[in-house]
Amino acid sequence: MFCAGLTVSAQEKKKRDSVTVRDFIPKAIRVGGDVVALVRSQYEDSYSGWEMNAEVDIHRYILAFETGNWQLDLNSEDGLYANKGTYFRIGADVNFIPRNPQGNILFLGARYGRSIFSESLTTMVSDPVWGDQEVQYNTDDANGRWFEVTGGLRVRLWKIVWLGYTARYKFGLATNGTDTMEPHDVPGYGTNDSEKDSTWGFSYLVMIRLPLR
Amino acid sequence: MIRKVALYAIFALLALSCLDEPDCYNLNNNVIGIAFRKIADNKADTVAIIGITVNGSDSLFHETKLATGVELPVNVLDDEVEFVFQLAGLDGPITRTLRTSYKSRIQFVSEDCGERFIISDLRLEDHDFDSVRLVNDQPGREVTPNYGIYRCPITNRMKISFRQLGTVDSVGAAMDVFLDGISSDFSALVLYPDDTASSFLLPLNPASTSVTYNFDFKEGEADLVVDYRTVNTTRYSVCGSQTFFTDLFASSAVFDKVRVVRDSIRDPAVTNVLIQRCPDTNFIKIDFVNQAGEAGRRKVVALNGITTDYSAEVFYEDESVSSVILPLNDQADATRFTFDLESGPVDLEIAYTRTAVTLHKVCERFAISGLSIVSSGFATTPEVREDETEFPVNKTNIAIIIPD
Repeated sequence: MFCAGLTVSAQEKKKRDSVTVRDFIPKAIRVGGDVVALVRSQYEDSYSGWEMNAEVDIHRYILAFETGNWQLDLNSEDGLYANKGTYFRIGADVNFIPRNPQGNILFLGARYGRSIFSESLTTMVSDPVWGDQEVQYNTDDANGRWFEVTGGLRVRLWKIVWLGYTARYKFGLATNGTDTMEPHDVPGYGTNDSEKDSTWGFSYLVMIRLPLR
Repeated sequence: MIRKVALYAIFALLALSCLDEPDCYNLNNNVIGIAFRKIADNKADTVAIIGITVNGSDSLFHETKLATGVELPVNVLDDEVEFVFQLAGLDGPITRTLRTSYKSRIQFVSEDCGERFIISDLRLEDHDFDSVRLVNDQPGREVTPNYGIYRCPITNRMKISFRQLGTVDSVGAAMDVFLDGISSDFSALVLYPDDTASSFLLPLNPASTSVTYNFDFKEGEADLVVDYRTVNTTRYSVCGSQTFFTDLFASSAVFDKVRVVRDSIRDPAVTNVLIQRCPDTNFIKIDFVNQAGEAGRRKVVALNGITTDYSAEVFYEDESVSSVILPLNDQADATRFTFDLESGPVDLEIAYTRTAVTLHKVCERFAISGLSIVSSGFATTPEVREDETEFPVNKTNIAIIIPD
């Protein structure tokens, strides 16, 4: 009887530790879109864009792929600015609550992003020494890359419908093909402030989770 | 709990990032800094600028100023600029140029701020200064030196200073002199025309070992002869061989006293030669006071003028003063002053003792002492408060009492 008790206790202990067994076969895939981009497209005249996200759950890790497109049309007192571009990000997150009974996710991760974009600016340059002159600048086929530290939540809302957000700290932007024009806004990265060298981003996601096994 | 903390943290960061709107002030960095320096010690050099122009514009920058550095704009719509410096030299204006290339990029900043231009990659293309060094190829929004303009030492510029000696002060106080000009025996150029100053920079002649300068003062002329030795040597390779001047010796038959205080040329110039004027020992100070004794306060008196018994000169003509400084006759033992007041002329005769002295080894003067009142037309006899003269005149010698 005593020995039987020991056996049951050992089995229970082994069962509790079963999460440490590494299972790298993908469990599910979540696909969805960024609501922030859609809402901005709807209500901001100067912005138009979308972003799609796909995530694969592997053990306590999440492989992430994100792609999107946005364009801006901005007016200053003397100038017209426009940009347009497509971008993607790849990366991975670590789930810090893998034993959550509902399967919800609290994660930190990283991304590598790339963007292909164009910009144009028409403006009147007023100079007290050399006078006023209207100028036009165009940047075609420029590209940029950057890195992100990400963090956020994924919460199961109803059956296969999930909600979540991702906050992004973006840094290390480097661009090519921008010899005459320093980018104002890089699609996927955001506003380029050369004096800060970083920026923040936020995605609010509606996703569908599809089990793979 | 974790979810709540994470949510709050993220939204707090987002809120902070929203506050970080760009500052629209001073967005461009199209102003480059230029510092003037000396090759010899790498210290700041003060340059007399007549004006600076840039190609493509008729603007004149930094007109008529002394500066150790300047800030100059570059055209954001171009990639090269040439600055033309008009500088004041001892022998006349000097023109120097500096041509620099750069990269100019535009960036849209925001709808409120518009665009800005980012200047970078400055490169020195050409110049005719002694030496120019690119210090920083990236102009900042706050201007810092991008170029250092270095000049070779000026080896032939001697500085002379005029000083007024005191009775006991052997160095003397700086004394302004009024000039029509200074000429030299090796140049037709007249320096400092119609100028007033207490010190002057004068060029030495590298082709000789002596220069005679003629000082054309408003009240007369005087010559100064400066002898020296020259040495040709190369101290800085970019400057080549230069003539250095040493063993200066100065003399004059007209100036009271000439002293060489530094016998070699420094850059920046320091005084090499002091031209000192002997003190006037015959001045007395007379105060007008409202009552006798220490309690008396100075009071302002309206004067038509003051005359003496030895000169036709009228002092303090049509002035209201509370104190006057007047010269005693150093060729006599008494001087009579006539104070022409509003109420009429009043005489005051002062007697004194003269003692011949030699001040500062060269100044033959009379020391005046034992001042006393011989006669006075004032209602109250003036008081003698200090019976010896001194120069400069600081103490009150005589007090004239004019009751309120």
